[in-house]
Amino acid sequence: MKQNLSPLILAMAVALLPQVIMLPVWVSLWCACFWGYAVAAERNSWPWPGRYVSYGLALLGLFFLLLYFRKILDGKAFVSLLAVMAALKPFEVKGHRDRMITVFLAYFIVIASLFQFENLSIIIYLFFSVLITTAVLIHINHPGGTPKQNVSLASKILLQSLPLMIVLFLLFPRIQGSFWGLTRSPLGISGFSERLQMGDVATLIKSNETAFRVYFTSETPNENHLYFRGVVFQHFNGTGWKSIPSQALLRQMPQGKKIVDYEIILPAHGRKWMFALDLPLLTPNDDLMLMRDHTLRLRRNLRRKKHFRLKSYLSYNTGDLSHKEKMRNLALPDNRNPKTQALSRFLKDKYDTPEGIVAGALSYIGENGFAYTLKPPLLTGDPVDAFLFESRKGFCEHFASSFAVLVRGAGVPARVVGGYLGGALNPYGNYLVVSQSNAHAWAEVWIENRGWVRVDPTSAVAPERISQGVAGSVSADELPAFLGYGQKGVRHYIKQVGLLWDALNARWDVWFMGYSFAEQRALLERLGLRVKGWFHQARTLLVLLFVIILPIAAFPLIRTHVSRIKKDPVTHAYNRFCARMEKAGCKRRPSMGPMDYQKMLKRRFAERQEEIDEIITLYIRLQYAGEYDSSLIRRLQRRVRRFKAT
Amino acid sequence: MLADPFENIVEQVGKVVLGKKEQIRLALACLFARGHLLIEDIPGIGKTTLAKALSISLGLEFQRIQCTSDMLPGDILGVSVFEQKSGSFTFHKGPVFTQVLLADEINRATPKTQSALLEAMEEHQVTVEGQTRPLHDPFFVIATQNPLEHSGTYPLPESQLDRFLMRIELGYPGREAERRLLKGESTKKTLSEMNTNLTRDDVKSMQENIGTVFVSDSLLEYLQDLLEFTRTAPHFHVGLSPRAGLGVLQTAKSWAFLHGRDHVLPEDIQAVFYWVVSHRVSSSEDLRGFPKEMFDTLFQEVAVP
Repeated sequence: MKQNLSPLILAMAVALLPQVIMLPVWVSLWCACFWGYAVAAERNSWPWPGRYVSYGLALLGLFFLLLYFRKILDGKAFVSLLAVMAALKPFEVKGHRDRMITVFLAYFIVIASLFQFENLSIIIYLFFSVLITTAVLIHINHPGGTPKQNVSLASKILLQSLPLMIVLFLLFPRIQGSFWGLTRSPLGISGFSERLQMGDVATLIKSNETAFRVYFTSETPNENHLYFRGVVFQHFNGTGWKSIPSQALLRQMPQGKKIVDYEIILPAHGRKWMFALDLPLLTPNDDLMLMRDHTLRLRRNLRRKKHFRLKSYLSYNTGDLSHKEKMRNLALPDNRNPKTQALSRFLKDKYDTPEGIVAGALSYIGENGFAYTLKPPLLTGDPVDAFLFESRKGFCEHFASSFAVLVRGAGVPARVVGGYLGGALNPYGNYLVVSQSNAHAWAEVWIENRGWVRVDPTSAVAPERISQGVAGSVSADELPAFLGYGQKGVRHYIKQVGLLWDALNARWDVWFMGYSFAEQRALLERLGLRVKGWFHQARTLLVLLFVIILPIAAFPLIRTHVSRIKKDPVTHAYNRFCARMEKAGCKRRPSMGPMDYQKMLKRRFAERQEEIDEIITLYIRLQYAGEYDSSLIRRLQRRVRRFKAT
Repeated sequence: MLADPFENIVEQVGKVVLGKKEQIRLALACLFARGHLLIEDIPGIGKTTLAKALSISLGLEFQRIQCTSDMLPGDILGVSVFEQKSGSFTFHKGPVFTQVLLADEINRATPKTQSALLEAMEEHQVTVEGQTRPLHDPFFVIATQNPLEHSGTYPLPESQLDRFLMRIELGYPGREAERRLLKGESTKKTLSEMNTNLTRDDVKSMQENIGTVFVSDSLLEYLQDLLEFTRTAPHFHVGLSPRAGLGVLQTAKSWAFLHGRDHVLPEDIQAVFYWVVSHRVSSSEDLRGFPKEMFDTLFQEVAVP
């Protein structure tokens, strides 16, 4: 028997489509294969798998899933399970009920997508998917309509539900945290690691992916202040740098001025890194900690795109350094990089102040034929020696780490900071897009009375790297293709469209993704409702939600009820009477006319015969005998009311 | 007050056809609604007796034809005969020129003869040899027929069946009624003893009064719901026609009037519905007819407003 499967499969396929990029290839093929067969088999009356074959296939799918995912039960595994089972669903559709379940399965797949994706284009697609699924839902309940009619009715329904959606969005308590553990596993993380080997950052620079976006609430700082601190490396082992687990900064808060207010929208990267403009202040935020190395850290791994309100000092003094920390930032392995150590001793002898040593080190790098390149030669042996005295070609990381080693050897506490520098200002949204190609490393030295001071040795070689980004400081043939710009014409417009789209995405992130429990609290406060604690807030939100939604939901009901009374008061009064008698245990069967009912009632309620007779007679006179007049109606209504009272 | 003459007739006819008061009431409602009546059952159950008793009690002129397979239309309508005395053709009226025509065993007549009745029943006129002649007023056809399975029958086509407002079945008499029958309360004797307590004018005025019985909108709604249900529900092979709807309404009015009311109630519709429509619908499982129980589900499904 034809089950009209094609629309159902269409709804599921449309819902699952965005997942295809995430799902294992075999799962997508599995779906395509079974859905294709189901559609073709229904059209050509091919054999249909029996119940046991379906069970077998389901078990086989489960087995493959176990084999593929083993113990990793993340969102991807759940969606894969959903897809594998959805692929087999058409084979067990037997009737209307199964069709309804299949449609709800399609809705469920859409919901699953919401846990996986959060960018604007996918959300727009999911609206489309909901539209298609709703049209299919209409189709299976009213098969008469054309696809066009179904889609237009579905869009009407969706539009009508829009106010409800907005209210739910604003007021449904947004308790953060992973829902059923179904949050996504971050895709292709790039960023820093806890280690820094010379050569790491170059791989970052080649990627044009957006690292994060920054909105400045106050004035946008000058571009040579756009250093976003991410990670601090303090331990040098001779070849590379390592970040030491730091503790929260509890005392000796940095002093500073020129406070900048800004928001950072950070996509999920699955780690605890946080980026902030040098030098971040501690802002009251449950998710963030300010560490002793003046980086911000997240308390939990970042699994969803999030936005943070931050404040930073552009000019600051971090204060005194403990002996222990001073020693840690002076430590060098004894027998590595001998030439560099010799140069350090020379600098120490030549200059007596730390400032002098730093300036001397910078001028050494600035004057000895060093060149900035994204493709440095491989460094063998002691990498710092090899870089400072042989190759003399490298990028920020080489300069920063060699500089730090050099001044450490001369007795000035120094460390390497990894992060991002600069970014592209999007004119449509007035925000800064910091992409992975903005990754940068620089050095910090500690100077008495000034605290940690940022020194960017790259600027001694390639000052344009700071003012113009990577593209400005390397020759054109070294650039990855996508960075080539400046051409007018089509490419110019593509770039403009790209900027506009990015700006829309950014707005989306701020307004929708960034709408959190804290924003809800702000909303409540704006409404004059002060809440204490999350439970109180959640309760207040829910109460407010119901207060708003109940009238919306009740309105059509009340309206039809009132109009029914007005339109047909006689039937209404009679129905009330019948309802009352039904409560008394004497239900009117739908086939019963008034006289049959009268007989039945008189048998049951012999003592109230007269009242019953009067009501039924009035009803018959009004409803069937054509004696329609308002005094009779009032009499009937009165009798029915009084019947209850006694 | 109105119920009295009616109950009187029921009483009278009930003396002849024992234990069948319900069928007698239905038959009377049909006749007062100006409809033709088809009585269907096995032979020997009292069909012809009922038909005779009805016509006698209404005090109308009565003719009877016994349908056979060699009967010709002329035998019903009449023929023109050449009269030597006047030298011209004179029309000799057939049995159809009467007030009550009893067509016994109508399904033994050939389709040709059956259809000769068609015009008479529908138009209340006959056309013979190019000349149209009106029939008497009132004019009723009471036909009886054997169940279709019996041999030597020509089943009435749907169009012919549709001309009958109502089709009733008599069924076996009850135990007590049969006892009285067996004791020999002779039908022949009682029939001749029956007194006609109505005249033609009484019948005419009753028919006119029935036309004034009030029908409310909500009742029409109920009737339309019922008709709609037969057209959309899967158990019906073919739904009811508007003519069937008119028939139900007309009979229900008559039923209400005979029960002393000047307005129609849903109960009236329910009482006559099956008998008016059962020969016009067929079930999708059994094309020959429609079991009465299925109409109970119809009334359960379609709520009284």
